Amino acid sequence: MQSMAMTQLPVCQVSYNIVDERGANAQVQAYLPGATTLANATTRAAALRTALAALTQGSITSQSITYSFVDPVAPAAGENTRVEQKGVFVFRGANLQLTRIQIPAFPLTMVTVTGSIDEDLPLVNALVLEMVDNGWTTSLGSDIVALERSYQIMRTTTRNRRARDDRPD
Amino acid sequence: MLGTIRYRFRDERDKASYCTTYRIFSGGPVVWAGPLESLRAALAGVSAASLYAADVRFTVQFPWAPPRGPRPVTRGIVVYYENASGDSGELLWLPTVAPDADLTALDALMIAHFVDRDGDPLLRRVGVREYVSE
Repeated sequence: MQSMAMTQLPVCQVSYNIVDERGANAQVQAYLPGATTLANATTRAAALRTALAALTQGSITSQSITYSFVDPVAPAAGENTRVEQKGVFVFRGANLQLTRIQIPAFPLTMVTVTGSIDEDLPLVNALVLEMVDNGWTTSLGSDIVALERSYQIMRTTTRNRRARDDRPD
Repeated sequence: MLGTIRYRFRDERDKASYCTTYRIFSGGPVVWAGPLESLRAALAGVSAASLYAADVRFTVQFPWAPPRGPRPVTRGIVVYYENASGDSGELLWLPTVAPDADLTALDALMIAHFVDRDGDPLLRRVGVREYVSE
C-alpha cells in the first residue's frame, strides 16, 4: 500500500508513573513541542521529574517521552481483514537475543500449507532485508543480524473477538 | 537512546492492533522520513490492515523508592495554565500532591518549556483545585 502522508502530531507527550503507599498507580502527563529534539526532551523531562518529585507524596517509578505520527489518508483495510491473523518473524540479534515482530492481518496468500511464511516472496524478502540491514534492533538494543524463523498464527483470543458471522457453526 | 516503535493497524472491523519494533535514536529530532518510513512501507506490503499511525516511545524505569507520604494517588491537585492562544489552556493533574504545595519551580518549567496538547505555549498558572477520584 502506498502512503507518504505520515505526519507528526504537534506535541510529544512526557508522562510519569507515580505509585502510592498502597501500590496504586497514577500518571502525570505534560507536553513538549513535537519538534523538540530527543536530547532536549530528555533534559526537560528530567527537570520536570525533579520538580514533581519534590511535590508528590508518591514515588516516581518511570518516565516516558512519546512522539506520535498519524496518516490521515491511510489506505483502508482490505475486505475481511482480521488483525488477529499474525505473521510472526523471529530475528536474531548480534548478542544472540531473539526478538519477534508480529504483523497484524498477515495475508494467508503469503503462508505455505505448513503454516510457515514463504520467505521467497518479494514483499516478505523486502521486510526481512529492511529489518536486518537498516539498523533495527532487539528489545535490548542489539543489532538484528538474521531472520531465525517465521510463521503464521491466529491469536487464541480470536474466536471471541471475530465478527459473529465469521464464526464456524 | 533505545526507542520502542509501535506501528498501529486496524482491520475492516476497526479492531486495532500494533507491531512493535526497536531502534536506537540519536539525540536529534525524531522525524518520520528515513528508517521509520522505510519500515512502514515494508510492513504495509505484508499486511492487509490499514497502517494508520505510529508512535516512538523512550521509557526510563527508576529504582523503586518508598513513597514520601500517605497521600493516595486518588487524591491530588489539578493545575490550570492559560495558553498563548487564549482557548482551553492545559490542565496538569498531579496525584498525591497536597493543595498547599509550593508550585513555583513547577510553574517556571511549564511556562518556559512545556505547551498544551495543541502545541500552544503556556503563559501563566490561573488556578489550582484539589480533586478526589474513585
